[in-house]
Amino acid sequence: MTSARVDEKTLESFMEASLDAYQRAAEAIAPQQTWVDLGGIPVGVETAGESLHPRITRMLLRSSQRPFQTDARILAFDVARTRILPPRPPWGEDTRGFAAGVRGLPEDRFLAEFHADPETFAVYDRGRRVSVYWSRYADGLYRSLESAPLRAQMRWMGMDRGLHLMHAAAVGRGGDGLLLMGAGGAGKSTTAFAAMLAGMEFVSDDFCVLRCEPDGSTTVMPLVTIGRATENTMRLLPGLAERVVNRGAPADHKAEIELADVITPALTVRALGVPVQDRVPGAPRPLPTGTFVRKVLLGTMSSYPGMADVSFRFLARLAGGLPCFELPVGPDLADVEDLIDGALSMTARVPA
Amino acid sequence: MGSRDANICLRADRPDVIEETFDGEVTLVHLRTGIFYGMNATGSTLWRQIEQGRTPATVARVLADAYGVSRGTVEADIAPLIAELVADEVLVPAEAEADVPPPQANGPWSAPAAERYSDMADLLKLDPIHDLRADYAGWPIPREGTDEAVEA
Repeated sequence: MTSARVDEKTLESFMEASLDAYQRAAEAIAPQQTWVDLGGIPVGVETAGESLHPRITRMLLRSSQRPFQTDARILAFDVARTRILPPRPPWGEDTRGFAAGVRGLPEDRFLAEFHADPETFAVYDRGRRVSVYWSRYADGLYRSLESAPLRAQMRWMGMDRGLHLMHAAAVGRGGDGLLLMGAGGAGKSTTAFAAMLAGMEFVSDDFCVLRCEPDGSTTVMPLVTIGRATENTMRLLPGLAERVVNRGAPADHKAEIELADVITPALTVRALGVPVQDRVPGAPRPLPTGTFVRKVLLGTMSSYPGMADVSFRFLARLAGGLPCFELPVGPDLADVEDLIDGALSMTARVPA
Repeated sequence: MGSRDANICLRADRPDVIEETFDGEVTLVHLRTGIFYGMNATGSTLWRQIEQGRTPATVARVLADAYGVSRGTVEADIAPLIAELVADEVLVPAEAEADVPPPQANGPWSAPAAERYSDMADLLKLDPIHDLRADYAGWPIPREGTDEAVEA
């Protein structure tokens, strides 16, 4: 069985029709605009439909750069408010890839993802650096906005500028950072929040942006200013309560944690870790690169639509160049600070 | 694996199969199915021999020569892993055998083995694109029995 392929000309026509649909939506409802920060690059988010705009932008880090420097745009609309339908897509069977990415596209030019529940769709033209994002109902978007709104588009736009969106928490000390990786539920956020409350430097609890530097090092930067915590995490870390911004939310929603005042703008990644919940806390356990990659592969690749090969190779390069650890986190989280300091101290440093 | 199957030329399902090597051991991902494998040392050697296009019989011969063990032993040892990779469509039929440098024994012979991870495959099977209601009003995806999307 081979994947269906869609030719570039067909995708160009589809992109034009998508842009035209957005234009009609923007004529129906005056668009709102926000500039968000993607690893130091401003990305313009323009939305036709006033209820959609805050939902897709409120968690994202704002750009301090001036609008005219924006080099990538996301154009978003929802049908419920604008009554404008997007065009019919040119792909069919056998199209679903990792994380709802659409397979079979000429990925050097176009990328797309689709979610059926809630109904959202994004297509990105890499040549023009513009993405069209569509949702049927803005009010039903909560699930698709968990963790990192617009993360497909942010990842695609970042890749073209040497940035990689990573499903990882990031904390550290003195400018040195540790990436906490693993599948959802592994304990990334809880470990990162515990480190933050202990006074460590904090970049992210779930998704972050990585940049490869000319000297071979990797810098980690934040993407969002609001983190998310489960009921269990809130019970374990009562110090988070004062930061909750969605009190009164439905029971199945995670607590949203305000982080803007504690976020560190950048850390140099010195080590990678995968937390494991242990009855007895212990020291960081070094892992062979291959073992580490296999432990985190699911949580990493299932988060990124499109260009899965690039994600895999980036993860391999990252893990191949840094010490990797399993971090046995004890039940009361009291050991987290020592555990992270321990991993960072075991890092082989290159003399300046 | 029967003797007939052993003479069918196989290769990796490129470009959907991608791989990286860590400390001499191959981790490969099948992007279409989401299945990934972590291979042991001899499994990795087997993979490098067959991934560009070779018959299991040829692979058994070169591995037996490199490791100094009988061809019968190698044939029996490699058959289960090759059968698994074929079943998962990681290996697919090839037109012709490729010219691959002979392997270097990197330790004593042991049966090639791989840890198989299907968690991502399970995620991909949760395929909402093809599970929409028959009366789905709007956009966009063809369902079984029709290639027409229905628009409101």
